Amino acid sequence: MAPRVVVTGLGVASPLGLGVDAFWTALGDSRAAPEAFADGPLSLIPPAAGGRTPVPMKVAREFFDPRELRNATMHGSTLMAVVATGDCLARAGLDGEDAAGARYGCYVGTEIAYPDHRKQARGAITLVQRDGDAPDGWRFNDDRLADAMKPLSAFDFLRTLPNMAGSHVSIRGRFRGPISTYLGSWASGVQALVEAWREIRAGVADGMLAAGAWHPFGEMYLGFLRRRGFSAAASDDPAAATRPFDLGRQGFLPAEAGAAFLLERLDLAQARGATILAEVVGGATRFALPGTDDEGVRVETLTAALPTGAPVDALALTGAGHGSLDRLEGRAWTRVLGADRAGSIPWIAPTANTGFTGSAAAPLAAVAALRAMETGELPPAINLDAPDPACGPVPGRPAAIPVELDGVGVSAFSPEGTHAALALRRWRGSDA
Amino acid sequence: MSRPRVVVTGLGLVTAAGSDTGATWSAVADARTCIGPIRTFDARVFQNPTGAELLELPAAEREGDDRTLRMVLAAGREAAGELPGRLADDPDARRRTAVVLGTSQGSILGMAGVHRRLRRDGGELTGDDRDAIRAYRPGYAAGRLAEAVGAEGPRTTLGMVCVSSAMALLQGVELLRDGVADRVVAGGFEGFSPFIFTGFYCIGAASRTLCRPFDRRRDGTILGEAAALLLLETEDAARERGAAPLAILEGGGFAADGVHMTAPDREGRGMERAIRQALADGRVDPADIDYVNAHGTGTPYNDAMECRALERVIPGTMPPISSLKATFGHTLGAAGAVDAGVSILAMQHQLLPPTLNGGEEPEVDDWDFVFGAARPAQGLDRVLSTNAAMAGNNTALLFRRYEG
Repeated sequence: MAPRVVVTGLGVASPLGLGVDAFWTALGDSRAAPEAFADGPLSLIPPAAGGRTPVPMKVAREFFDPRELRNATMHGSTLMAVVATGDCLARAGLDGEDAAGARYGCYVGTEIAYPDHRKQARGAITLVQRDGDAPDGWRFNDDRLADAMKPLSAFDFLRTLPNMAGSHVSIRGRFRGPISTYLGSWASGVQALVEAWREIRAGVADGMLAAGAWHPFGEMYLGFLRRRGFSAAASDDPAAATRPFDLGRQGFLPAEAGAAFLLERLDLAQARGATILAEVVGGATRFALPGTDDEGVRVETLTAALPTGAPVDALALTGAGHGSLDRLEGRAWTRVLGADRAGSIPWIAPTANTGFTGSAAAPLAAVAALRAMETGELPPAINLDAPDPACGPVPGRPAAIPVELDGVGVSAFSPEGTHAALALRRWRGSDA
Repeated sequence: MSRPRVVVTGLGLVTAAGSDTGATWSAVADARTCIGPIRTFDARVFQNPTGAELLELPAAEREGDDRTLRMVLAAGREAAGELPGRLADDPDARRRTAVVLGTSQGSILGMAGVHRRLRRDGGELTGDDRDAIRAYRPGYAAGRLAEAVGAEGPRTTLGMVCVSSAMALLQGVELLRDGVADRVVAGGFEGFSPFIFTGFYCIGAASRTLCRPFDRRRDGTILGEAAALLLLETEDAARERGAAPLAILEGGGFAADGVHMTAPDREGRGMERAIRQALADGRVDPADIDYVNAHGTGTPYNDAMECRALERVIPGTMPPISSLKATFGHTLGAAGAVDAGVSILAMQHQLLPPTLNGGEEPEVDDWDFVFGAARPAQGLDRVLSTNAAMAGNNTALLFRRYEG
């Protein structure tokens, strides 16, 4: 029989602050982090606003040792993952040399590290010309290669390597077991969680650090988000701009964040006296091809993740604040739970507070749900003045409410068709 | 319940040797390096402007398909063989066919063009730009490959640099063993690009001379490009459709060093863990390994680290070890699947692939690195294939010749 898997640690880096406590306090205060970018290159790209997560060096030392992990080698998403990991390990009491070791691994879900640095861009642009006559449409014909190389350093290159997020996390936590970085979709954070849960159940690892991290602040990527209509065109009021499931939503403001979870085999967590925050009781990933019934695949993902009879007292959602993405997410849950049930439980989408955090969005929602499970109170849902009935029976939550959560459903859906879901249950003891 | 046996029923290898498996194997058998002067961009400013480029690209399937997509689709179609025809009328089988790809930088080539145009012309993104950015998103190639072979099951992309495609194969095995899929097209790809080429120079990993795996004179690797895909199936699924297995994928392992941002654990402890995990997974005695297809990049640290790991895992006489990096260049996101494919071909042909450019000063004096030329072998039935990536990511795969 597969071993039971429990959550024993949470960590956060978000525009609301570094650490779970800062995040949770800000949600309770109904604070929204996104701000307008007054100057610099990002101020020129719509929506010229978003949620930044600064990590000053003095503060960074609380989360990692800068002598060991250098900022220079970290892309923004790697930094978010590392800070969240540091927070998570400290809270879980698993920090320190060889605390984890060879039977603990780490999976990080993020997106590819878009070369967002001007130096990297310069290196590339000097080498390539569009040429319709060339076999593949591009021609390399530039004598300025030496000039292009000058500003590039080893660190510039390393930052863009997609395995760096997982590798830095493995070094931070001394995780020497399975390692991977999941790319390619906004669902990759929950995908990493699901795969980590599976590895422990399969006996490949005793514990896994699983994280979602995202850093969208490269010129190319911001342009892509706007061009595809995912992000808002502009915002006069950044704090109110990201509006998950609200009739007034018009695309999100992008934000950078990381959310980390320590998953452990139940018996080992108990043996080391860890505080058990919840049990992972189900998980699933599914994939939809373009042109197929994507809503149906989302429903299938949720159904596969929820064990029969598993309690669902709250939903931890991606909540992108985007027209069709929110509609598909809300409708999928409504189809799975039924309208009465779906309308009677809280929907948790901190995207309203942070801005949209991509691969970290649903993991952040899961962190909030687990804190609510622990404290018995759920913060208000901001920027939800007029719930959109097309998304389902979205319950408003203008003020904090008392809750007693036994089970939480987590969903991460992406427009590319990669979907992932997780089922968490309150820990009531070994025999529950 | 016993787990299903995973077999390899198709290979698709697009390398600098050519656009199919036959051309790729010929380079191995003939001990011919595919490394030569770089032609796709002017690399004269580099001390060693050589690489392993595919000079004749497969045809584009859609307007705007860049070189990486062309390679991926050609390799995928070769690996899938007659499968797409079988799947066409079988929606259930399509839903139980998965695609798992690994890459380091994906279709970065088009992105460079976008940067250039925006810097030159400014303004909003054009339709071409949008296409290039979409193609650069790492899931795009997997989506196109899934469409090409008719796979509607799980589809994912891994970014683990030099172990990307080995990880993709491991992920494919998990999907089959978990019963999520009956067959998986898995592997990886990497296109030649000035960005990556420059990067390897910047980090000091590029050779200034020759790529000399497992030779003490080695000073770095030389890059190549490839797309390599394997069709993995449960043995039952293969039998059901009458496919002839080429090999059994017996087991795999992967482990982190957790030591340094770039350099490997000098003692190869992460690699050792990955190999031991693969042996345990496949229930294989290390003494039964007939040949090791090593990562062997030709960088000083990697090759030494692999030797340290192997000497602790394999007792007694070390089986022959070789590396393909001096043949096809280091193909990064495709390397693990190239190595896997050639390992299977080596068992089929009973021929040990050679390590080129070395032999005068072997890393370990009394080990057989198959320097110089391919060598006939008898009883080449089981291969261990190892790969490692910067920042301490290690994989090991075990293949066995299929005998029914």
